[in-house]
Amino acid sequence: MNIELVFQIAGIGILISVLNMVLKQAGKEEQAQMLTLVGVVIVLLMVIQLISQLFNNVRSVFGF
Amino acid sequence: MKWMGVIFIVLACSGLGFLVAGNYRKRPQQLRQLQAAFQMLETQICYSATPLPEALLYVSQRCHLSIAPLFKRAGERLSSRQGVTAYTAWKQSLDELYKQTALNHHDQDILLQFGMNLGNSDREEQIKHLQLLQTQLKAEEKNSNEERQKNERLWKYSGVLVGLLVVILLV
Repeated sequence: MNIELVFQIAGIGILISVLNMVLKQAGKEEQAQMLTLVGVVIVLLMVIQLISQLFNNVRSVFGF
Repeated sequence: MKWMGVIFIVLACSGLGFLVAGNYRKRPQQLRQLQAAFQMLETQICYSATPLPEALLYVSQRCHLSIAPLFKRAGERLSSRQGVTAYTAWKQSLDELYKQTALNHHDQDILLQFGMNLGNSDREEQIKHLQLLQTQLKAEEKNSNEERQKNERLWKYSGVLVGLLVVILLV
């Protein structure tokens, strides 16, 4: 488990939220929502690898 | 080495953002300068009754540098006596040079529409067309000021932020 990934996800979160605020200020609510969605998907892609790793570990522990 | 790449990516993205923001900033200014230039052209046509090629060249020497080539090219083309009408000369110089200005398609359409009536009627009619053009340009300027307030800051911020995002995703 490397700590870098946590920082990376935190950084993405901060940047996306700031960009979201800027977009909302400019009156582009739709694009802001789309951007939030894109951010969630990107972070999900990162986390999904870890989750699959976890499942593999669990499987190997119980010997399936 | 890695940090060099980081710096380059951030610089490139924010530069792109500032470039687009600069276009939004320049458009109202250039529309204002166009109004001043056409006011000058009106004076030339109405009071000093200068022939059109000379009037265009006169205006190009005295208006702001960013839009001067428009008038200069049209004036030169007209005075070279190649048998072009005022509309063709104006259209050609507009087609060649509007990419260098911050004006968009809408402004180009307005200027082209004015060009259709340029130099094919007497003085009073020309002045009517020029006044129509002035009101259209004024409306566009108001419009572009609103757009500027919305978009200029957005592009500045989002350029830098997208650069940082790319860096975070890649590192």
